[in-house]
Amino acid sequence: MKRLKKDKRAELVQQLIIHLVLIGLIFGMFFLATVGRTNSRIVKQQVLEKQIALLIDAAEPGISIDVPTVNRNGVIGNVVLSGGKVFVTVNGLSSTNGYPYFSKYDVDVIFREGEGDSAIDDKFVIGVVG
Amino acid sequence: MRNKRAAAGETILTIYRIVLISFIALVILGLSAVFYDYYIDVRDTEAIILTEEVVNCLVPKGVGKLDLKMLEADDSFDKNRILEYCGFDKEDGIGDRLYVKVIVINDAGKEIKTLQDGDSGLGWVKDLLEEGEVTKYRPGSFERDDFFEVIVIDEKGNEINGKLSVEVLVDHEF
Repeated sequence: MKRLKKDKRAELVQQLIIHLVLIGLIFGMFFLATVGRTNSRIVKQQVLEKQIALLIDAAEPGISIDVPTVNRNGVIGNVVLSGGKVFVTVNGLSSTNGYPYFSKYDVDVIFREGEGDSAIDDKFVIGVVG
Repeated sequence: MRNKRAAAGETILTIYRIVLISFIALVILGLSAVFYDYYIDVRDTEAIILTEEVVNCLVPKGVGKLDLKMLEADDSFDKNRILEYCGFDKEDGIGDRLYVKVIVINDAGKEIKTLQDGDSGLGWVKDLLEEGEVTKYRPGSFERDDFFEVIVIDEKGNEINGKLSVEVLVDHEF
């Protein structure tokens, strides 16, 4: 009888531990997702996209805008201009929404490798054509 | 000897609890994402840039004259499609979130002509959200009466001193 009671108590403790671990895992996952969302990568991406969009908006034909891949806002993986929007990949975080620009001129972007082996000299060149 | 039915019931209860906890965590995540989302607002700056573009389009570099007679004669000119006239093509969706209104005023302060384009409802949205906390959805704006002094050539061909009153609104990008 005593042994049966002990077994039941042990089973309850075991269940409780499993529950606590599962709850901890779920909250941990969501906490990480929240941190990922609010960390600086998204803010840096927003800064870069909006800076580039404003530069394009204000640019006259013939102007080219150099965006170094190693930027103070992080390492830029890609700059895409599509559907009137700027999409910038920063520190591996690709952009889903982008930011719209309203330039009346044709705008294109090319990747230009630097002379050295280092990626520091690599850049994206945004050209504004009349 | 474990009761198999009881064990199955316990498992179902555990699953139910996990689903409930996940739902609560999801709500917390959603709310925190909405309230702690950092938004950098550059729409006022966009409005200033667009104002410059439109004024430059009407009066190139601010040194020319605003020739209303020539504008009226231009086939591509439509006073309610000033953005298109100035080259902001709407095919790419550019201009969808913009509103421009230019009022040409003579030196007596009388309105000679009103040129506009875009969604005028943005002005209403701006007034509605002026006081509130929801800045993300309030359009960016640039508005200036008597902003720019110009020489206007009116429809009769007379040169008069005039002013441009400009209002530009830029909607959110969502």
